[in-house]
Amino acid sequence: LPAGGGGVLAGDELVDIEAREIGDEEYVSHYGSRLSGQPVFRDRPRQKDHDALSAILGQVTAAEARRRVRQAGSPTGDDGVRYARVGDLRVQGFTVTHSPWPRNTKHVSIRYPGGWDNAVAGTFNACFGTPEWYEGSEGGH
Amino acid sequence: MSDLLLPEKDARPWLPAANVTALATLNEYDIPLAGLIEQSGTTFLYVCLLGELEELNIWAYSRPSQPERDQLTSLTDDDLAAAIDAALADRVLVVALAHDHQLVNWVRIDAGVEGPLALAKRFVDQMRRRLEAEQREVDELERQQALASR
Repeated sequence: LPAGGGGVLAGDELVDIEAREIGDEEYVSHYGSRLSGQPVFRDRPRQKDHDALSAILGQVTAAEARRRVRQAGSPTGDDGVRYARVGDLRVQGFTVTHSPWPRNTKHVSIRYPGGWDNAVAGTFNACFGTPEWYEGSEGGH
Repeated sequence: MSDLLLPEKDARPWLPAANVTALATLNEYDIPLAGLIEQSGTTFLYVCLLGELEELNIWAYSRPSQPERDQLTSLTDDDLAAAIDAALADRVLVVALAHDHQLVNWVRIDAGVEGPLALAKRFVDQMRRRLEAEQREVDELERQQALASR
């Protein structure tokens, strides 16, 4: 099973994807959207469902980030991405681990070992740079 | 054994009924977005079609064939995305609306090869027609009530 976890497959074997260590000097990409009118970059987990936020390993374009999250459609100006250095997240107490899923082998989980309150959300946001929105090409990183 | 998933209102989209078992997660971004589940001995694929980051989202439930299951469990990244698209094509799907990660309503859609975005659009169109029909029914009941009270 992939490191991200995968439930229990009966009779089938799920593709095996090795998780790897992530260095402090590496970056993660955080996908966001302004499809609903306002930019949305989740800054805390939905704790009734999950204890972690998702990100993407490396500095990927908004188009690639979208492709790894959304199943339908093509990138638009509503697709954005922001980047954080992994060491900057870790020094603030966040854990950053590679947790690949078959559909997104660059998936990263970001956790905080205490309550993820407004202050933690603010610290999390401060680790990221200004969002870059899709401008119609795959350029950039 | 049913060809179609039987969802339950208020269930999580990725675990859409009390008698559903999770088999494998294929994708996740804050929440599970695609995976394989089992209901009454049948394996279904679930996938979020639209609204992955939003409060309202649209989900599709498909019954993949064994060769499709083999693809879904062996491919990665863009190849897997294409296999998911293929496993939604040319069959009857259950397509559902969820709000705040709870299923609200669903319909059956006879899918061709239009792809997930067009499927989501057809779902929205179908839901709008259903709501319009219900609105007409409400309007008619109100009209009859008004006539009766004269």
